[in-house]
Amino acid sequence: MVPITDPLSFAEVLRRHRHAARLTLEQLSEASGVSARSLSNMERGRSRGPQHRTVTALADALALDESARKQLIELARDGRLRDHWTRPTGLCALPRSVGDFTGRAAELAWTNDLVRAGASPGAAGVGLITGPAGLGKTTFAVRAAHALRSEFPDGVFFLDLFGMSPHPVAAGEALALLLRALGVADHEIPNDVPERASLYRSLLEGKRVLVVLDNAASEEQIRPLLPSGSHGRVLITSRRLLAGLEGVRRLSLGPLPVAEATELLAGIVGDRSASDGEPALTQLAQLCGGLPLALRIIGNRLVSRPGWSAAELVARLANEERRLEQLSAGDLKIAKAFGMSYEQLAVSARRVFRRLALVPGRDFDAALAAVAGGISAEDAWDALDELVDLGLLQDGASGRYRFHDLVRLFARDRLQAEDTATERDALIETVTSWLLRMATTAGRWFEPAYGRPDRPDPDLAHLSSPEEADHWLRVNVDNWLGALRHMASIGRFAAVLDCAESMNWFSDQWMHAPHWYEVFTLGAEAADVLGDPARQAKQLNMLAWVHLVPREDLETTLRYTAQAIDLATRSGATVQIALAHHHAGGALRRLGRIDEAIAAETQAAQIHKANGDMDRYCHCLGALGTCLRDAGRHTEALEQYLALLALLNDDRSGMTPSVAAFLRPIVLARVGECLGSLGHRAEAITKLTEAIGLMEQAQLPVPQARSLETLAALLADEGRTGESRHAYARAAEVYEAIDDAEASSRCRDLAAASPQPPKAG
Amino acid sequence: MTTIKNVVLVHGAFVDGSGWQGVYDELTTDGFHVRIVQNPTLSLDGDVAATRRVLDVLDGPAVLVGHSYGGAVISEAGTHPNAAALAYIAAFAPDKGESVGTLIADPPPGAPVAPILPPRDGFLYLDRDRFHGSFAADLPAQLAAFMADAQVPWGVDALAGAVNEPAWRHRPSWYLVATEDRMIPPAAQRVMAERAGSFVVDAIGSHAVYVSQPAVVAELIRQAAV
Repeated sequence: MVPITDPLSFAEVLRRHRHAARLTLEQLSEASGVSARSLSNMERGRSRGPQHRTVTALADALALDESARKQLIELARDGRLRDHWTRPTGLCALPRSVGDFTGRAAELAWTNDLVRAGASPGAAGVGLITGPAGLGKTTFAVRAAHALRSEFPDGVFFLDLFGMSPHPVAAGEALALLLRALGVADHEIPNDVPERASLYRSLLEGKRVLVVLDNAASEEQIRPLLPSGSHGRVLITSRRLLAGLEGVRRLSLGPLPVAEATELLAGIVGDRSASDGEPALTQLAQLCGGLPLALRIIGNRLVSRPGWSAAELVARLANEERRLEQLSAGDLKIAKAFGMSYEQLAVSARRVFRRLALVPGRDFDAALAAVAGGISAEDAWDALDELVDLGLLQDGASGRYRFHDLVRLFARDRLQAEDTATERDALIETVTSWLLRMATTAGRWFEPAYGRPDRPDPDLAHLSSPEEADHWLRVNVDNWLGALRHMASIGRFAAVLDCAESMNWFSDQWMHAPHWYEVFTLGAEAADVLGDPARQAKQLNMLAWVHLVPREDLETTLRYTAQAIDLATRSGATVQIALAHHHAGGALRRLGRIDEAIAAETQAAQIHKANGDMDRYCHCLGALGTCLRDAGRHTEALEQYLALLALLNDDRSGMTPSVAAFLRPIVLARVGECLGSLGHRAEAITKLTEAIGLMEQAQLPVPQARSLETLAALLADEGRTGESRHAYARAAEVYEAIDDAEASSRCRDLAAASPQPPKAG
Repeated sequence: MTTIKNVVLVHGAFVDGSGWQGVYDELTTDGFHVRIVQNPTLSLDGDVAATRRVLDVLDGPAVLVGHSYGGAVISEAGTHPNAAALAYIAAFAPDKGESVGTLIADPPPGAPVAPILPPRDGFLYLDRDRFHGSFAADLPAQLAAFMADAQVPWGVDALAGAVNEPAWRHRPSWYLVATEDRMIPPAAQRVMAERAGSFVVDAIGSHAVYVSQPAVVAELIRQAAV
């Protein structure tokens, strides 16, 4: 046997097998039903991840043994995943249009008119494509957007609003996604919805962009997302008419006419259409009600299970009398089409399919599918491949899968019919418990005292680094949040509180996620029910943080800190008392209530010192300095910072060395700023220069940029124009690196400004 | 807000009420009580009276729906107390003093003209050979041929009947514009809908959109019933 050094590619392995079987491309094509051209593309590596059913057909035709077959299937799967990874994953990027898009010429003309006619006064250029599920609204909107692309040099954006899910994307979240796609950095995204909407509108002002808002839920969700300018255009898809939206042109999409429906079906079944015959395909198209979703599923069913002819399927469909209680009359035609595919699945794949309906989030990966199906990850991959082949699942980016809403409804109906209530309850327990334990374990990666868990539960998916934990928590957020909500609703408060607590550190890592308020509120309520005031105080402090930092809602911060202090005092949780005072101090300082802020920070500092928590003590001393500086009490602020600096430079202070090293350059820069404010410019310049050097080493670009700007101003005041210009230019660079475009251009302008005489004072 | 449970469907010229079957099936499945007016299309007054007789016996408010010339009928009959909302399906919505005759008198240049033959004994007919292309291009040829041969003669008094008090001035209205209509130009439909202040939805369909796209028509009526 040849030792394998490099992992072999799918192309290479396929070619070897074909040669070993002594088959020409044409012969293999004949034996497998895969066209010679596709085979040639695969062998040349141009199609690295062919569909599962294609690969199994090849394995059959090549009469591969079990292990060779498995290898080929896995290589194809890797190829498919790699294709996903290398796909353009721009934010809000328009998905690809389906290759076999059929018909809809008049509808495409309608969108074309909309885009052009919108230029006339009074017309807003907003089009709504409406109609029931399965009509291909999204596919059509994507196709239309591709066709119109050249009209929009400033970009085409696409956003799925998950209108039919129990938790549609909120307007604020949608705006954040669009703003990010428009190049706004996280920290520049305003906190409240009206401000986000006005930033969004101002960015789109005068721009020729097309925004596709897919699967809209309501008027409230859409309204803030409509640009006001006369150049932007919007295409919305929704199952609802959204009658409350004004200035919108609406197109009620109908089913495909029989001829087009038959054409679509013939395209999907490909070479088979000759043997099935046009009349049978036409009948099948009619039985599918001209609904593209049903046509795709029936077509895939024909291709992947070649045993049945179209005529046989027609007979089966016509006789179908399955009761589908949750589906409305209009959806029945589609449901029958799903039933044809469902019945062809192996028992285990059927079970996975219907059980996946209970996954709380919008999509899932193989690990979660394995948990839901009660099978190994290996078997889950196989089941998912099969379900994708049949069109019952869609495979999205990076190995994640999702249902079409109607298919999920069908799966839920099957679950209701085929599994007992006890089985369903047990399944919900299994899935939510797994999700919550995964989230809690992942969250703890970021906690200094925990880090990597020694012995995670053996059934959990493996997370080997903080990056993986971070990734898992982000892509699964609606899954674990759904599990958290469920556990709270059935009174599993200990698990809820554990999970909320595990997010204390991770939340700082993902500050701008919209979910923290809900997570910590559930945590606080759980602690309340459990009668644990100390842990409740901790959650309230997290809520104070949510309102102080990401939300900047200072009055609310103070309400939470007051509650936290009360509960923590009752339970003697001194750390939480101090943290609450510290959060309150931050809010009070920003409200301009400096004396109260100083009092709060002083109390916090005393408690931390008494507890021997020197790290937090020093943080509070720094905050005290900031209060004094903000109050214009520069001499006192300078004393405060110098005392702190002495502590940071003292090896025996009891501080964690890494925390001291982190704070040192920041405090040094503050010393410099105070000196500058007091008129000791030369000294200030020395301190700031030293601080900037340390920040460079420690890679602290945010304070570094600020310090460089302060330094540049001081140098200018000293008349050291050349050095000042250099410092401004450097500040502009660092600001740019941290995505603060506004500050960057401000510094660039100052750097470019002509030398000025030193200002007085 | 009370939801309307009744729907009254009024057909247009050259056809009878049976074309509403698809819409009827959609709406009755949803629990609506649906009545179809078999208006004789001899005169506007006669058709208005036929519609009012149906409205009279209803147990509550209805969405009154008109297709084509039926739009003129509902514009006049729709002031009836049981007509709570109006739905125009590729229909005429005449203003005070207007008739279908005056509305089609002056077609804009280039617009498709309905192939109505000159009156014979007080009745109008559609050219059989052009029926499929003009009236029902999105229906199968065989069905269009049947409709052409089964066409109901349209009385000249129906064409000339003027509306006295347009109901769309007093009732909320919805309008489905058939974008491929070759009988009433879509642009004319839009103008009438705008004038009536209707909530407008477009559908890709011929003048026979109520036959070819029953689901789309039913959805508009559902919306009007909320």
